[in-house]
Amino acid sequence: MSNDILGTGPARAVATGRDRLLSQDFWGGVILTVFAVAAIWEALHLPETQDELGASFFPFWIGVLIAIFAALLFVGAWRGKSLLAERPAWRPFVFSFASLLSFAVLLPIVGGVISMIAVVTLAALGEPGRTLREIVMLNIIVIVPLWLIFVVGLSVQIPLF
Amino acid sequence: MGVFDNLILGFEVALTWQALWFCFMGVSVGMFIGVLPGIGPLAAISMLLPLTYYTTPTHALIMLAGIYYGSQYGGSVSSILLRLPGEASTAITAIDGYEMTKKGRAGAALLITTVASFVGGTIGIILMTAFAPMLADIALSFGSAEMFALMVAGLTAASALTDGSPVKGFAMVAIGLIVGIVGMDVTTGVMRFTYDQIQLLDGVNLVAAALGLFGVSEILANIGQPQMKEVVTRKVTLRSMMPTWQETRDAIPATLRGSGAGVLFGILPGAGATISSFFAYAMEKRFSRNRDKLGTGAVEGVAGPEAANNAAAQTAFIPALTLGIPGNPLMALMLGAMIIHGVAPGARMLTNTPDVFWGLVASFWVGNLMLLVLNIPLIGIWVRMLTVPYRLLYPAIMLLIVIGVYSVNNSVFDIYVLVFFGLLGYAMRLLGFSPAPLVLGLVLGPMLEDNLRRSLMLSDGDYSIFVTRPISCGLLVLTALLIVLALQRAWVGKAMAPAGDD
Repeated sequence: MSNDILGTGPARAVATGRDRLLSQDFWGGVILTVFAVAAIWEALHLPETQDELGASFFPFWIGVLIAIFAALLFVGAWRGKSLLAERPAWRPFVFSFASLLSFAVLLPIVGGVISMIAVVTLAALGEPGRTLREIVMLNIIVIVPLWLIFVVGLSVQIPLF
Repeated sequence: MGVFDNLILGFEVALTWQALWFCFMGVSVGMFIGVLPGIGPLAAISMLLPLTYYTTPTHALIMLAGIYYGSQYGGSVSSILLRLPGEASTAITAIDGYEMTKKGRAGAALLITTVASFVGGTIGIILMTAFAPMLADIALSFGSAEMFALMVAGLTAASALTDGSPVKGFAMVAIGLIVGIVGMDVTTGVMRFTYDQIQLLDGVNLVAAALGLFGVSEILANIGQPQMKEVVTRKVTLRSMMPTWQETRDAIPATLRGSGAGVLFGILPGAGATISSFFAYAMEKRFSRNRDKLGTGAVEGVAGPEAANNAAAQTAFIPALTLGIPGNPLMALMLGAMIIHGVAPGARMLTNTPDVFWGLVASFWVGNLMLLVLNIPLIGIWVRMLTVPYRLLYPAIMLLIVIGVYSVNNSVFDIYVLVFFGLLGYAMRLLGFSPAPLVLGLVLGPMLEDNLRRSLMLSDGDYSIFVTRPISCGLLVLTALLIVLALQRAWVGKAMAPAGDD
């Protein structure tokens, strides 16, 4: 956010014509629609009490509200008022999420040490040009202090192996 | 109890060794985070939230608050030395601060920043001490209809004023409200949005959600970005820090004006530190005696905004603590932390847990004083810290996030929650949404629904209860006005001054 304040972010084009389907507001509208449908669907399928103010009342109307916002975004995108969506940076994206997921998947199987190494190594690979030496060093200087703080210091239950 | 009794009670809490230690930890970490570009205070606070589970609520809050205002101080260091604001609220300081650095007056700029911040912070705290009990008294007379209207107004203001399109801000709040009610509905006992996951019974883990939204997506936005190579490593000596007589004379009125702007904007929801610093700069442009020199390294351009953002950082606690309504996402996280620690924010906090409340207020003073003392000798270290490359830093942050989230419940499930919100946060960022309002909705969701239900129960389902009660009606009219103004701004499509959300 701070980059935008000084105007250092790249200026992006307004999406018109066929590009409207690649605009920020179109895809923003799509995500909002997903949330709106999920909220309304859930509200309609809740076991309802006779009370008008039961469990479904609030989520239903919030869902409707989100649907309205989605519609507003679609209108904006259609009228060619939206910026072109920013493209994801695939390499950092893939490796970062692989790094996070590796912990969830590996921890129950192989324990803390290997999971932590996986997290740090995969995260590091998100940026190109790493040498093996750099990754090994990084693992050591990152994992040892964090292990000491959380596992030794605060006794978080992380199985070693 | 008079004001003095309150303060004495507060200092009894804040001046214990343990409290001093947590305060020190908080402000140092805050400074550190504030100095580092590429990791904001939101990510920092959510990252350190799990650490505070191991201590008492009072100490946890003292530490979290220290991180919050410490980061305001730290942000200005990188603004002045590198023209690289660590945070949005110090962006405006970069203009004159960096010019001063180029002229070799970096030391003086840093000292003026520190003192102006201290003065701004202190004025904010005095205001808080005086007005918080009054506001809490008013709030105690509020019924559920008033509380509902107040929350709606607060959420609207906070989301309308965040950067980017107001529609997107409102939409993020709405999504947050949905995320907030995930789990078992307390009133009816019905499971909502749990999709047969037993771990979602108690709702979405706030730490996992906040870290996904801010931490993960912030890392993704920063990996591979070109980094500043040259750092002004010219030695900042103690002697170079002494401002000249003229600089001092120019800085004093600017500091006071800035503090005024800060306390005002801090109380308003959504406005907060960023807008107040921009506003203070605009004020200097108009009222300062050296207004022509602004932009070329005038001390007013540093003193005014810095006093403002620190004053605002303090007064933002007033509505958050007395009404239980956070004006910005940082406050939402603080309130979330309180709830996790079993301290209910809101008007009753002053009567039920006065030691927590006044201890926290007193710790603000202690913390600001610590920053004043810490900041000056440590400037050299901060400068060196700026040279740590991000490519070495972010894998460490990633592991810290993962372990932090895991440690809350010792649960792998929360890592999947983290991934979900990381994906959502990153996608929303690419699409021009600010993830911040979502957290406001998330924290307020259950309270909003609860007050809505109570009001309608009271009125037998009659919606007119919200417009027949004067306070609630006034607040809703205000909300409507805010929405109209925000939409008008969006429709006209004028580029407004970038309004951050801290």
